Parts: sequence; C-alpha cells; structure tokens
Amino acid sequence: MNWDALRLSVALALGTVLVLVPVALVVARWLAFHRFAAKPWVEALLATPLVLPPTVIGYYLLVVFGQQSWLGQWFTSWFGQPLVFSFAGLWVASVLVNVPFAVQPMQRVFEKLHQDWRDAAACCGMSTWQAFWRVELPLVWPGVLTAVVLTFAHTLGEFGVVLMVGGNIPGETKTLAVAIYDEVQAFNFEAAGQMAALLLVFSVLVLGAVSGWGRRLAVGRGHD
Amino acid sequence: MTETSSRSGGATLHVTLRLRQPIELQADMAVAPGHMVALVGPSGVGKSSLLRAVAGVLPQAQGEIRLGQQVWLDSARGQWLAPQARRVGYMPQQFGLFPHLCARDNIEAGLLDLPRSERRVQAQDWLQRVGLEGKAQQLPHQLSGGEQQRVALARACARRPAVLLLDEPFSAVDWGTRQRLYETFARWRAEAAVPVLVVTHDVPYAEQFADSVVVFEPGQALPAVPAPGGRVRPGTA
Repeated sequence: MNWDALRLSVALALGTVLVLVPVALVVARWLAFHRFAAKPWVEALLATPLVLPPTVIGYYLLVVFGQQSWLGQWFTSWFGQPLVFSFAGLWVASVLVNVPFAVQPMQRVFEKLHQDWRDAAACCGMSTWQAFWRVELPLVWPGVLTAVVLTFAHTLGEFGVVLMVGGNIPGETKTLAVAIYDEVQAFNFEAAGQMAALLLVFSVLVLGAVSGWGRRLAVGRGHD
Repeated sequence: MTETSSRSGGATLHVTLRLRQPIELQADMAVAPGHMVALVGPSGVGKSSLLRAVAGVLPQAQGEIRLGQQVWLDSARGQWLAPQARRVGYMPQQFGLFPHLCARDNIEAGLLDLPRSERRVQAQDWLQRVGLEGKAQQLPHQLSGGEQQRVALARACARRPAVLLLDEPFSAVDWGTRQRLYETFARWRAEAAVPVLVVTHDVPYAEQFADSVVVFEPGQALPAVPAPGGRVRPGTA
C-alpha cells in the first residue's frame, strides 16, 4: 500500500470538497431559481467535464496553467512556484473538473423546492438569508450531501486530469489512482490490487451509506 | 371613504391589477379594515394569482396596490415593496408549511420579530385556538390535511398581519371542526380588524361570513357585491 499516495488523494479530495461545495451551492441555487436566455449554455459549460475525455480537459488546463499563459506566469511570480506539476495546480484542476458533480445534485434539489415554501418564507418576513438558512438549506441537505460524496469519491478516483496537470511526483502529485497505474506498469499486481480494492470498498460503502441516509431524510420529512 | 378604521387604526387595501402572466386578469377592489372579501369563481381565473400579487410574491404583477398611503406596487412608477416589508399573513392553497419544522415551529416561523420566549407563548396559544395543542411536535406530513390547514391558518393570523390573505382556508377541514374554526376566525377578525381576502369555493361560507363577494370570470374580477350576511361600507368592496 502506498500510504503517501493515499494521504495525498484524501487531502486532495477534502480540499476539493471544502472549496467547491460552498461555491457550487450558490451557483446551484442561482441556476435553479433564475431563468435567462443563456442558461442552457451555462449549464452545458458546467457539465462539460462529464462528457469530455479527461485528457482533453487535462490538456486545456495544462495550457491555461502553463508557463506560457498569463495565469501560469502570475502564479509563479506570486507564489514562487509553477501551477502545473504541483499540488496547488492539481487542487485547482480538481475543483474545475468536479463542478458538475457538485452543482447538479444541489441544483436538482433546489428545483424541487415548492414555490409555496419560498413564498411562505418571504411572507413570514424572512430575509433571503434567513430563508436560506431556516428553510432552504435544511430541505436541500440530501443534495448537499450527495454533492460532497460524489465530489470526494470522484476526486479519489480521478486519473486522466491528475496525470496531465500534476504528472507523477511522489508526495506532491502522485495520487492513489496514479500509483495504481504505476504498479500495474511495473507488473506489481499485488500492490495495485490492494489499492484498487481499497478504492472499490470505500466507494461502495460511502455511496451506499449516503443513499441510505438520503432516503431516511426524505422519508422523515414525508418526501418519499 | 376614510383611509383608516375607527376600530383598529388599520388601513384600507386598494388593489388595481392588470395581469398578463401567469394569467390575464383585470381587478379593482378596495377592502376596508375589518372587512372580509370572498373571491369566488371557477378554477384557473386568477383568484390565487391576485392573492400572490398582493402578498408580493408574483413578480409579473402589474398595476397598483396600496395599503392606506403605503405603496406596495406601482408598476407605472417602478415601485415595489418586498413581501417582507408588507407584513401580510399569507396562506397558500397547498398551505406552504415547512416540511422539516413541527407544527409549533411552523407557527413560530412567522413570529421571528419576537423574542424566542414570546414566540413560543404565541405559537402555543394559536395551537390551542385551532385545537391542535396536542400536535405541537408533529411534522406536517404526520398531520392530516385538515390539521395542516389549521396550522397554516394559525401561522398566517399569529403574525399580526396588516392584511390577511387566505387561499381556501377551510377546504380540508371536517364539518364539525370547520364550525369551531369559523367562530375562532370570526373572533380573531373582530380583534385584528385588518383587510381580509379569502379565496373560496365555499359559497355558503362566503355568503354567511364575508362582507362582500367578488366573482371572478375569465380575464376579469367583477365589481364587489354585498354578501347576504355581510355589512359593506360605502365605497369599499
């Protein structure tokens, strides 16, 4: 078992969840409650990581983050290290790649909020902020949970983008998925099998637990 | 017509509405403090939309709505007062109870301007008034349709509204409970003395308890007529 790779993967997944989910919550709410002409295009853009090959996304991120781009040059001059082939670059790439996994589940639950509840909240005198905390967030909680789990699990398993943007630097960008690939390349199937089994068991356990929890929440509130 | 009532110091609600979305509707009415106007007519002619426009939760509303001198909507001048500032008690047709809050917390949700302890006292009092003191901890889905309706009515009335807007407030309540609820509501109306708009298909109720009736037809609300049991003041609906 490559514990360094596991630690890095977990750190990347947690970091991605912490940054992405709060931002995605705001975006999801906005998309759910607003209609505008460009909405289908905005939604399509945000969903792109679902359908594009990871290598294509990785390529474009490599171009945008690279030393030839203004972003790459600005990052290097500001932080003293390049964005590509670093944990920071991997983190930014991971956040971008996971946007649809965070936004879509939360957007769907926001869209299911009855207009009556939002009207009642306003007529009870609640400000937008109060209505969000007291009414909306407790009701969209299952969607937030799904977004957290999907983002976390998908980041743990992400391979193509990680390899393109981060390379394969032990302790810096070599995540569990890349480590599995390395072990297979070296014909070390036992080590690869252990790590693969760990990811498999973890994924099934977490998704099963979340699915069960989400259903209990829904039944408890009479939504089922 | 005077703008204020001698009973309460409340104000008259003036509504002049020209809706195109979500439904075409022209309506003109004035509701004096303490008066109840029943809005009757077939489904889909805009009764609920009118309530939503008065509540401030119908963004497409066009026209003019005033409570006394306070402008709630004047689309010609681009004026619009947010629902939070209108202080309405609004009960939507599907009750609008927050599904994650128990009956008592739903009522307290309309009393956020009060200290927490006062909210609790008021909510308990209202649960008692609508005969649900034993169901304070129940979530909406654990209540019957009639019980949910009573909680929603209690929430709308409890917040001491300047205008009360009720969409089919007694439709799901059984006959015996309904009679008791009529009395409770009539007592509250006498105390609160605010303009009340009620959408109802219950014509006998409208005739007995409302001051006047506005019949809705496709595209328009007809001028108000006095209800047989009501007492219309000159110049008001």
